[in-house]
Amino acid sequence: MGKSIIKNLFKKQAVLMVFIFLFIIFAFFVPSFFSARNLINILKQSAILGIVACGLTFPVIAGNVDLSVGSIVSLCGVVALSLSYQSIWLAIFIPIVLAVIIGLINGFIVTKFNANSVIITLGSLAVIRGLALIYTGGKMVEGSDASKFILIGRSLIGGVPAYIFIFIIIAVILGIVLNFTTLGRFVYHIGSNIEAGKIAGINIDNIRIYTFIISAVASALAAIILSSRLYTASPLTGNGYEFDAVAAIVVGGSSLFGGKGNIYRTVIGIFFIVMVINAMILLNLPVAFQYIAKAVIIVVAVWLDIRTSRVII
Amino acid sequence: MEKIEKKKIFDFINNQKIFLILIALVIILSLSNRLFLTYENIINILFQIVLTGIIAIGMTFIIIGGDFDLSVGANMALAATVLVILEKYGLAVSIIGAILVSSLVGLISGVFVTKLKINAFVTTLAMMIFLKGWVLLLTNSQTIQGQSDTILKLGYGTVFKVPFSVIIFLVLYIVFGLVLSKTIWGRNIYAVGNNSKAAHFFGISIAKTKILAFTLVGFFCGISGVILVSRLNTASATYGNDTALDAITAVLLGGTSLSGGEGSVFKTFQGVLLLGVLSNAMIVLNITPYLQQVIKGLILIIILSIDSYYVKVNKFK
Repeated sequence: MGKSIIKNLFKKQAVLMVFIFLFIIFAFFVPSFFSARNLINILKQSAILGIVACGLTFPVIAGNVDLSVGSIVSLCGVVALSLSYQSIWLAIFIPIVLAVIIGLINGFIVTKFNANSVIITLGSLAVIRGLALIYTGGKMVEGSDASKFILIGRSLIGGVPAYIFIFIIIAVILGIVLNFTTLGRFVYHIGSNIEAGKIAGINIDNIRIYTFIISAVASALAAIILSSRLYTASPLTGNGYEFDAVAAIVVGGSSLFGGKGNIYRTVIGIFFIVMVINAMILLNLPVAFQYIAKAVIIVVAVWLDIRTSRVII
Repeated sequence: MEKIEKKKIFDFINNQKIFLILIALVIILSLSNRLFLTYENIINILFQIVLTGIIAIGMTFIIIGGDFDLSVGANMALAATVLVILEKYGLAVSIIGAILVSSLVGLISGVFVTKLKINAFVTTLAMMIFLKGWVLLLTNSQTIQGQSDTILKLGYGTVFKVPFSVIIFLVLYIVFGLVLSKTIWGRNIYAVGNNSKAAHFFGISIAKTKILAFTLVGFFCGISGVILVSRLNTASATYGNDTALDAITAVLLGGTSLSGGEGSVFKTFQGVLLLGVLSNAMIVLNITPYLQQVIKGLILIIILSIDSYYVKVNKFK
């Protein structure tokens, strides 16, 4: 009995072990991997994707998937940057409002019609990407140095970009919401057993709609930071973010079937993915290998998840 | 008696609603634009819809079986790439090679879904990312050009002014419409999609049924890839980005339910035609490609909402 608990614990932290192991390997064998500059680079990359992935963790734990996050990053990025000429507050406020509306619509359709979230959000991905392209006429949006908007993405705290701390704060808040509030507990309940949740008197529809809003708003925040940091925004910026975020979530060990996972795991997952891609870039491997690595990581992670949960049962 | 008659008429309208929408749309469009209902334009619509249309046949099998496949676009791009690379070994070798590779990809997806129990969403999402990487690797992230131009003769060859690809498209619809409705495998797909546990009790091999269906989708991606190259003689990783979206939309538009167990190839045929007419109308009306994307996404969302709502209402009845 005691042995199996230890075994379970080891299994639960398997991703962390593999992550540390790979980190050490890369530090020794990948040139300029273990340098302050590169480590900060990994943090920078992880921060933007991490905010998206932490938000996406909510619908995933509730048993849904939101594939529209990447297109929300694109749309909110171009909207934020084009509004930054007028005022920094508009550039922050309007994308968030947009995201709330998008999340509300996604969530409403998925819950009220009981529709498959993958295909619905595949549709909204197309709609939102199309809207972003229409908004800019297919062109890039350039920022202006005069705007205070630049401070979000470019100010430093102790030599480290400030938005890394924003990421940490967002992750901590989302983690607290998920693990220490009634809303969070309901999200788990719904994901693990929707019928039991109904009997327990949870307003399932509302909770599921909230998860979609959280995921959309997180994407908007990532978009604001990203467009402020790059100072250009393309209507295609966020293409593929949904894959990285899904990959991070499953690698972390949250289940795509709902009911299992947390923010801490997603953060480890995002570091994992970003670190592997970073090492591949340092090794000068073609971009193609990044795609292949992501695909392999997703399948292996999910397969391990299925296998281990079978063992526990 | 009168009540039954009324119900019959209502059922008829309900069952043929896509067909009726299609006819209404065609009438409106032909009245508003003289060029719409010409022989050339009808052939043109079919010519444009062939790639999505052929893949949608396979998608119908998969969706009736209770899954869906997001990797179809990337698989089509892979077939196109393999074909262009193999062209120097002769036309037959390259075409067979491309279709084989794509079928094999479908087979692997099927094995992952049934034997490793990784669900279709994760498997086909990962497969899509993987294939994208593989095609980027094979093409060196560029658009590659075929060595010989003989394949273009296939792409632009016609019989009675009907392009070869349109004939292949129609033949495949008839053949696989019969396969789905008349063979044991076809019936097993309905059974598995309806209630896989019950199907299992009746001695149907779920794994075999599903693996065959995924292989079939791969096979169709191969054929679409070949037809694509026969028109352009190039291949690139950007091909097929919206194919999954279009194919799933066509299937659902035809009236096949995403919840599995019902639908038909004939329904998908209607969905494909409707999507083709809509796309053609959007081009005729000068709607920008960006707005077309928005409209297509909205169509998918609306159609799936209606479909899911019916399923939900029937479940709680």
